[in-house]
Amino acid sequence: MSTTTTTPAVRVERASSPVESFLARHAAMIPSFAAVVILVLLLAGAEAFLRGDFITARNMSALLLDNAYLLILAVGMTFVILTAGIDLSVGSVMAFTGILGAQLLVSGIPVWIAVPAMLAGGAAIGLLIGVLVQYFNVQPFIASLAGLFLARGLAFVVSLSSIRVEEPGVLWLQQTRFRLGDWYLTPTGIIALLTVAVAVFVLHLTRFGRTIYAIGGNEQSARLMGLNVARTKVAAYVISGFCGGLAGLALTAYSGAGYPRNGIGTELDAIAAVVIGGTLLTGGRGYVLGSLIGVLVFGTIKTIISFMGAEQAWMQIIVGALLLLFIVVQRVIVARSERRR
Amino acid sequence: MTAETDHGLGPSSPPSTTVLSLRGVSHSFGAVRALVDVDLDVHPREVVAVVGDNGAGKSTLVGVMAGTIVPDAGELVVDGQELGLTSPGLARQLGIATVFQDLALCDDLDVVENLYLGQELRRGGVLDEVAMEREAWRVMSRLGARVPSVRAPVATLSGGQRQTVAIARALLGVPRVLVLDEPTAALGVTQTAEVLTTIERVRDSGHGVVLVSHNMADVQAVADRVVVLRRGRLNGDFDAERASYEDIIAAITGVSPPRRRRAPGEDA
Repeated sequence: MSTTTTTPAVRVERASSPVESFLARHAAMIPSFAAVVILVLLLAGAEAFLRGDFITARNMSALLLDNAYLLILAVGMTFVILTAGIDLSVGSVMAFTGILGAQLLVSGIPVWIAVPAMLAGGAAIGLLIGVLVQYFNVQPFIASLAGLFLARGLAFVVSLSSIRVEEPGVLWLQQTRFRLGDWYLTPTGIIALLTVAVAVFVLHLTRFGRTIYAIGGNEQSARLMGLNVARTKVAAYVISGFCGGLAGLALTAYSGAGYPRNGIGTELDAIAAVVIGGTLLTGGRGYVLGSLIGVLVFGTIKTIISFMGAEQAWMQIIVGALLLLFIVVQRVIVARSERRR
Repeated sequence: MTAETDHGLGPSSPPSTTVLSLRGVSHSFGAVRALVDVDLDVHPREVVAVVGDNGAGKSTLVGVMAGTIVPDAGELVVDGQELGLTSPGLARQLGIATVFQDLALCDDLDVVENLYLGQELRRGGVLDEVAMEREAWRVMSRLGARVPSVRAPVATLSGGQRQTVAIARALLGVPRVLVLDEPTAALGVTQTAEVLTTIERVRDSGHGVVLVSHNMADVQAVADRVVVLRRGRLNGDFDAERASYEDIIAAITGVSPPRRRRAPGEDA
């Protein structure tokens, strides 16, 4: 009797359409797919609206160049958000490391010391936040807010005004163009893409990456499974801080100067890009490649606005609307997977 | 301390070789003494059931063996060596695998990822997904598990399937002792039978099993030895074959069994 009742139940489960079971199995990817769709729609819409003047090699290359620093920040932010944390300090860290590097270079410190110092400075602030979060049980929001003010303050301590960078090694990062037809890549763009590649490798092909996902999914379970939760969580913030330092380098090269007021609000841009890219703020689900798409969506909107000569305020409004849309999509997905349980 | 030790070790279990021993384990949560001077031996090819009423200290005992609770006093003896268990990772390294009552799985990750979390197979520094997936199929089928796919997120599985994933995960590192905390509490009749069969298979393959349970039917079905906890103390150690249901219930509740020659009112 029991076999006759259970067998059909199993069959019903199996008989669900392949599309449905694919969606169930890859629910975590849906928001990232949605981001790709939105990016394509944006590009196609702009292309149609501007009658073929938008998708040009020059524009697309500039898209990466103009947003290299944001991409680097978004990669670091993805690590933190995957562990169900948040890092509000990255914009300030970028400004601090940028002005620190500029100051060091102007005082005649060689570039091979200045650049590692920038990266180490960013990583140190990340370490501080990570330790606060993990060992002092401070909310990530508050801990990284402290990091935000600390880094901004340090930036003003280094210099109150903008410092021009004349160092050829740093300017080379920006001015070099590796051309292929009309397409080009700058070393800053290459650094950003390499950061993405390394992050993909770490998150999907190493034990550390697997642990990041496990912690975001269920920290208690991860601890009971004997994973090294403390070390991994601190490492996520260190990575984010390091990316802040790297973004500081990219931005200094991009603007040719360090400026202590750089990157005010950029941490929110990075978070927006990560969320648009399909990473859940509750942690455990998301992809670095999604964050890449998110940054491209962000950059494309910015480019479209400036092409149309519209108010920059529209940029904020559109990004805000997109964020709203994505958060609703994510809630629906989370609610669906919880109902299934 | 222990009111009664009905030490009926079966003829098949040699008393000298234990895979895991607890010696004088005590632990308090504030003023509450959760465990008081508890000794426990686990032999290979043996299912030791730990039973007791709510608040008897069963979960604390599981925590001590799993490394999530560091006891105030007492030690673990593994392979004749006295050790302090300070972390779940260390417990795993020593071959003590625990299946927690809430299973401790990561719902967003798929079956393979859950099985291998913290002990991933690697080749040339990167995760070897192919080998892990192949091995996962093998382990799951050995346990007689029916999962739609080892690449399905654990959130999509049923309660019994999730239980099997948790047990499979525990068995992966070839542990010496498998500790199960209320493995059948959330399961239906068929799934319970499956889990009990799994426990017997694990026992027959030479592991020691500690089964912590409320459910006397489960305990009598698979246990070789029944250890009773009452208010944090050992209150009886029975041979499951010989001990009657009433004896065990009496030890759990603290009422002296009528047929025992013991002064009335004597208690733990």
